[in-house]
Amino acid sequence: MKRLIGFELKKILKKKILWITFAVCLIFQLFLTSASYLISSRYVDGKFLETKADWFKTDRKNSENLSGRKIDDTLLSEIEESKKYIPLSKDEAESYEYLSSDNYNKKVRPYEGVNRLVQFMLADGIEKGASYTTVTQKVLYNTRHKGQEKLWDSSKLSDSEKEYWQNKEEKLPDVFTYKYGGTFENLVGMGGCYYICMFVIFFIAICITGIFTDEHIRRTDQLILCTKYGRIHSYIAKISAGCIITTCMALILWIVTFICFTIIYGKGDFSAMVQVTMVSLSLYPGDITIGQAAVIMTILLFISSLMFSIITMALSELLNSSIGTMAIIIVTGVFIARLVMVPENFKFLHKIWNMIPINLLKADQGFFNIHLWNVFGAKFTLWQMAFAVYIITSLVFFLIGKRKYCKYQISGR
Amino acid sequence: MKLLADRLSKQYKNKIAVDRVSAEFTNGVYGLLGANGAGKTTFMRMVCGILEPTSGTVTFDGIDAGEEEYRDILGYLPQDFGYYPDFTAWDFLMYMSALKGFDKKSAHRRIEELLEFVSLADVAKKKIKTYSGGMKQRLGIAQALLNYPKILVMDEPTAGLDPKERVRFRNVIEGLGKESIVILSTHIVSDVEHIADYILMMKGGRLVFNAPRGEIAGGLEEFYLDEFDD
Repeated sequence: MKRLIGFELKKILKKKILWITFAVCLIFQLFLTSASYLISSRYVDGKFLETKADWFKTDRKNSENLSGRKIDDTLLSEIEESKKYIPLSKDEAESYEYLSSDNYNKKVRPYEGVNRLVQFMLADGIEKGASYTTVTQKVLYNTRHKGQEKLWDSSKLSDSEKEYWQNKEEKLPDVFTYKYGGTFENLVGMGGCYYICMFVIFFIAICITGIFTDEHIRRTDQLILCTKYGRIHSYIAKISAGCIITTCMALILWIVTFICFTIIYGKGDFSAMVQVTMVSLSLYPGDITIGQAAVIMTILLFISSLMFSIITMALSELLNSSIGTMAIIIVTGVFIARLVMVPENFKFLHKIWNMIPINLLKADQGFFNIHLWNVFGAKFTLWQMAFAVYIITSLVFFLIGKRKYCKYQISGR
Repeated sequence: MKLLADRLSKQYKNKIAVDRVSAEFTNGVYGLLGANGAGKTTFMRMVCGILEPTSGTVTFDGIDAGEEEYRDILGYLPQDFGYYPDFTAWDFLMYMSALKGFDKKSAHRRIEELLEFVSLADVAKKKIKTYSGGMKQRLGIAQALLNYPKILVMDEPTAGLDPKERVRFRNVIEGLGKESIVILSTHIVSDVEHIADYILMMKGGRLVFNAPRGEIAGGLEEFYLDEFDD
């Protein structure tokens, strides 16, 4: 079997299109992860303010300085104090003079990150017409809870789902500790696993679809199928080779992304709560750290890549068409999944839709989706369920493809 | 050692490609003659287990053509088949040997022997895409012979071979027929005239003639033309 897999790998690696696609995906991923850091600058009122690299470095330094501090009355009062240096007029607050002043850079900017987080924690829970002149620890966390309740109602969570999240929420500390997410935060965010998944799907659609169909087009299938190991063994070898190539592609993109993020954003704190590192998730009730989320997302990325790879190979054998398969995989796996949003009213469809890898690996849409699957009374989040669904789907397509390949008929040539 | 095709039929929608063909094969060379579209290739594909018959069976000593055990003793040279253009002849035969269940060491030995036999030893490390039609055909013959097949099915095996290669190939087939069942199809009568122990003729999907070569009085070509004279 090892020798057969070796030859299948050789066949794939000899294709020029594989190397071209690989290079294009790698360049785009590098561009998406580090281009803005390396090449752009920040201009205000037509004047050069700083390079993006300096901007990132300063923000990273400021966040790292605050890392480990509790978001309590002391820190909140420091934030309030810093706000005194912000001009009241919006135009003035965005002017070159202000943004290049010591007041902004030394008094306001160090708290910008944590201040943004506080604003997000408050945003959904503030009662209509209410205004807080001073945000205290009590106000902050109470408002966050109110925001959560509103979110759960608007998301049409059932009582049992609310109870599940309430239990999770109770495990969170009463006072959050601000920590810097760094690379972990970015891997979980848009530029990390999400983009890698997208590029891997493109790669699979272009390079993996031909593993079976090329044999039929070249008419080498008749030589293979009448040999001793030309059926099941050959099928397993082809599927394994496709999976190995896909895994390598995903791994290379992941390593490159990880290195770029580590250089640009620093490693970050593995134990940081997702609620404090990703402001859009400040109301999330789950007790998961950003490091854990990055690890789980990475595993899901690899499993979903394998699933796509197997689906693609089985589908190409079923349809006996690499172009048709390529179209199906790219259109449904990337474009339709990205462009179409299923509203939360259609709970079942909403959950299914957000378990499509490209949606699941988008943090706030899929991975941290608060809708739950109920399996024999036990509750599972979308990402927990995805492990089982991806493995079962892969297995089903593996068996469908095997049946088709082993029963392939050479006729009409 | 007996290969049995029992009432073998293949129907495509309204067209019957092979119509209730029954034949018994023991060691020897079988020349399958017939015009284009007579059903020779369809029949051979069913014998090789890569095309399921609409009805009927193919068995070798009771082993069905669809089984792994059957494929283990089968060598097949299709009429029109492809290669991996970026593979060398050596790579290609190594790949085929892996599919035929050879370990690396015995594959090396056998491939060296076959490359020598088909006169491709000098170009074994060159990519197949640089080969001429005749060289590709010889490589196809080599892959079919890899596993010392007990059943050797060759569809138009001499296509693309030059006259010298043709003669050499005939001699080899003659030798193989002593220990195996060799079925070769052609519409060139002279290809089988001197080497076939048995002559089978197909017409419109039916087996219209099946007898030892010796039973045909006079030249095979005249006999063939007589049989197919509408």
